[in-house]
Amino acid sequence: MRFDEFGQNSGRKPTTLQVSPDGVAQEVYPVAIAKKGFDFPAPSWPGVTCPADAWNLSYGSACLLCAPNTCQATDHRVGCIDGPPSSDYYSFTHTGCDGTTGPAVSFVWAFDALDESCNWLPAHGTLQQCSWAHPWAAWHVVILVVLSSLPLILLSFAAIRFRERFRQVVVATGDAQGQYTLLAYLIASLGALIHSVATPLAFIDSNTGNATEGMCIARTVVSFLAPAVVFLGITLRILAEAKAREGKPGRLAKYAGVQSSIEPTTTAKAFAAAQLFMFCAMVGSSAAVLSSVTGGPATIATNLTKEIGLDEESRTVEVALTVQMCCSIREFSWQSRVALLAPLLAMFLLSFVGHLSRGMHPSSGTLMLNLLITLLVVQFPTLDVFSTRAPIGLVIGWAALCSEVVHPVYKRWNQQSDDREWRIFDKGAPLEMPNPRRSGEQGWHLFLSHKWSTAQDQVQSLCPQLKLLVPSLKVWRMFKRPLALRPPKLRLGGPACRPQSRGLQSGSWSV
Amino acid sequence: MITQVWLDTDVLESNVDQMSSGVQNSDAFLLFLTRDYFASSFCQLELRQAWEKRIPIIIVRDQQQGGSDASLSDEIKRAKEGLKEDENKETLLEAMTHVS
Repeated sequence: MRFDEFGQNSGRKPTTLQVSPDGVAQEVYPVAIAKKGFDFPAPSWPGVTCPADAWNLSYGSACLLCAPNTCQATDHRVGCIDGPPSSDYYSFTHTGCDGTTGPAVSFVWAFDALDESCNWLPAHGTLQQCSWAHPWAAWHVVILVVLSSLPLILLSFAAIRFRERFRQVVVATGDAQGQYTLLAYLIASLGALIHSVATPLAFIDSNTGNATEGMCIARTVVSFLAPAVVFLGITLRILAEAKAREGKPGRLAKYAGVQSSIEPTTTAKAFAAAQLFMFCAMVGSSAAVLSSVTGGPATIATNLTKEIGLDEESRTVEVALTVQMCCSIREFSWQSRVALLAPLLAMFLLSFVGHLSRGMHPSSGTLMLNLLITLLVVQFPTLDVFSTRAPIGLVIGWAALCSEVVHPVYKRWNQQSDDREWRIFDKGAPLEMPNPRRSGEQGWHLFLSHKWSTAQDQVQSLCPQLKLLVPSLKVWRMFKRPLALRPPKLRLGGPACRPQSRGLQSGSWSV
Repeated sequence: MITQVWLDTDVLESNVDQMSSGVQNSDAFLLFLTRDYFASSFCQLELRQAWEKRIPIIIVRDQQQGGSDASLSDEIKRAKEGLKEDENKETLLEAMTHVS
C-alpha cells in the first residue's frame, strides 16, 4: 500500500481476506489475486463452531469475539467469557516460590480486558505449592535440628573411649576385646543418624517439583534403611550380651537365686539369630517388592494437572504444570501399601513380641515406636511428606540413640552391670565392687554372720582384710563399741569395718 | 579415763528387725563357721532368713575354733534336735542340712 499526502491509499489496491466455511482465510480482493468471490453479507459459518456474530481467524481454535449482549471485544482485546477461557488467552510460567524452591505457576492474561465491568479480568494468578512453606524447614534450622544428635553420640563414644573403668568392664566380660559391644553401638548410632539426619534431608526436596530420579531412589532407600540399621544394631546388642555371658563362672550355678535370673547364653544367641534372619528376610522381600512395583516411590511422577482460580466466582482453569515429584505411597491403594510395608511390619512385630517375652528392655520401646509409625504410614499415607517424616525421623532416631547407645553406656558408666559383679575376680580387673544389687537405700555386698563368743576375734580381723582387698566392699556386721565414746547402743550396718579399724589403731578397743 | 563397757546381748533383741533388714539387703551371706554357731538363736535366725531369701551363702570355716568334722556334725545334730517346734523349723533344718 502507498499513502498520499491526504492519508489515502494511492496506486495500490488493498488485499482483503475472507474466511470460508472450511475455516481457511482466502483472498477475495483485488480481483487479480482473488482465490474466490466475496460472500456478502459475511456470515458466521457453523463449521467453525463459533457462536453467532463471533469471529474465527483460522489460526488457533478460539473465537475471538464474544456473543451479543455480552462484553464487546475486538482483535487483541478480551472480554467476558462464559466458562473458562481457552489457552489462547493466557500464558503461564513455572517458577519457584520466593526464597525457596517448589512448583509455582504464574498465570498471566495474553490480552487486556476491554470492559472494566468485567471485573475479573485481568486476574493474573499464581499457584504455589511450596513444601518449604513451613518456617522450620529453612536450611539453617534443618541443619541445626538434624545434627543435634551428634553431640550425644560423640559423648557416648568419648565415654567408652576414655572411661578406663568401662573398658575394664568390657574386657572383664566374655566379649574379650569388646568388639561386639562397640560394633552394636556403632551400628545403632548409624541407624539413629540415618533416622534423624538422612531422613529429613532426603524428604526435604521430594515435593518441590524439581525431584530427580536419584533423589527419589535415595529417599526410598533411606526410608527402609533407617529402621533396618537400627534393627541390626539391636540384634548385635543382643549378640554382644550373649557373648558377654559366655563362660559365666561356674560358681554361679550353685546359687539358685542368681542362676535363675540369668538367661542362658544359647537362648540369647538363638534370639539374636532369629533377629538376624528377620532382618535378612525384610531386606530381601522389601527389595523384591520395590523392584516389582510399577510407579513405586523410587520413581518420578511428572506433568501434574493443577487448577488455578481466577475470580471469586470459582472460575478455574486447568493448567499443566511441569512438575517432577517422587511417586509416593500416598498414591498407592491400601493393599499395595500393606504389601510394600508388610516385611517391615512383620520384622518389628515379631521382634517386639520376642523382646517382651525376654523381659522389659528399652529396646522394646524403640521397636514399638517403629511398629506404630509403620502402621500409621500404612493407615495414613499422607504422613509420607517432609513436614511429618522429618519430625518422625528425629523422634525415632533419638529413641534408638537413647535405648541402644546412651542407656547401656550410662549403665556401664555407673558400674551396675551384673556381669561385672561376678566376673571381675576372674580377669584381674581392679577389685572394686558395683553398688549392691539388693540395694534399697541400705544395701550391702556381704552379711557377715558369726557367733560373738567364738568368732569375734577372727571376724574383727577378717573385716579389715576384706576392706583392704576390696575398698568399696560394703559389709554388714554387728559389733560393740565402748560406752565412753558414745552412749551405749548397738551400732549396726555399713561402716562397721571402719570404726573398728580406727579403734584398733588408737588402742581404745579391747578385743 | 575410758571405761569399756560391753552391751549385753539382751539389747540385741530390740534390733532384730535391723539385723533382718541387713540380711535381706545383702548380696551374699558369709557364714563364719565356728564352734556353737548353730546353737546361737541369732545365728539360726540369720541363716534361716538368708536361706529363705535365696541369698548366696559363702561358708568360711575356722579350722581351729570350728573343731573337727565329727564335732561339727554332732553340733549340727544337737542343734537340729534342739530346734523349737514352730513354722520356721523346717526351713532352718533344710538350711542346716545344706550347710553341713
